[in-house]
Amino acid sequence: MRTSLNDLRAAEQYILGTMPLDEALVFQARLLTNPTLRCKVNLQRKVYTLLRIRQRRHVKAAVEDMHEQLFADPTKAAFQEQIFSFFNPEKL
Amino acid sequence: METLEMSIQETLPTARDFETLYEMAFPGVAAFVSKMNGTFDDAKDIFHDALVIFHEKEQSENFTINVPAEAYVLGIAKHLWLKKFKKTSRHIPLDSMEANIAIPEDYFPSVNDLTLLAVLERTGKKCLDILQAFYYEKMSLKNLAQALGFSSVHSATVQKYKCLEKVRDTVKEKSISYEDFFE
Repeated sequence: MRTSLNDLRAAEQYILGTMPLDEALVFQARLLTNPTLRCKVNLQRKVYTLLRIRQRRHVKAAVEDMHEQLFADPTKAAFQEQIFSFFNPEKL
Repeated sequence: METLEMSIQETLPTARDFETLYEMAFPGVAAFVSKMNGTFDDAKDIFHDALVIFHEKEQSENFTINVPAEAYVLGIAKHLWLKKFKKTSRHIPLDSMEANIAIPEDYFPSVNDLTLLAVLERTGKKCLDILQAFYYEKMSLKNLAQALGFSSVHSATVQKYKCLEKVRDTVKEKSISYEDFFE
């Protein structure tokens, strides 16, 4: 792999905590003295944050589908009534 | 890419046991939200977020609980309620198990992050799909290579890092406060 990809791999191991301790210490020292590398690592950290947000959205959409199915299923009437009973008109 | 999209779909929480959890945990959360004078929609919102957080925790290594999953989900829901209405735990008594639950700090994304993600969805959806399959669906590089039509794991590895680089460079280009990344 070209050097820039190797740097990405090293940064990934550092950020995700999978880098062996001795290598992590060397990498940390490089970060202190190299602002460009530091910036790249911070940007990479942001990529993982954005992927995490995206993943949560996917899971939430799947949960929403599950909700729609459960509340449209006539065989789940008892469950639906149980939930609705907590929110009767007097409470709203 | 079709195979890759299918793999992502298959690993989302659509499994039977997650449906069972839904049915087991929602009444407790609904009862709690109702007690707090919340509406059905409040209960649904809080409960769905609690399930997302539970799923994320469940996927992480070293996650073990010694209470039923529905009790843990209710604990998460209480924390989310406290956060949403800026209450303190004095208003909602938490038992020791519940008090120890941590909600991910970045669970509610900033406007900047949402804007960035929208840009990335427009310009590099394929790369986002590949990275997501790898990191969150724990797809092995071998399966990733097959799904993407690469002949070897090495080619898939290179593709993964090229995607990471592409997304990182777009983040750099589109970031509103790029200087922050130098800190």
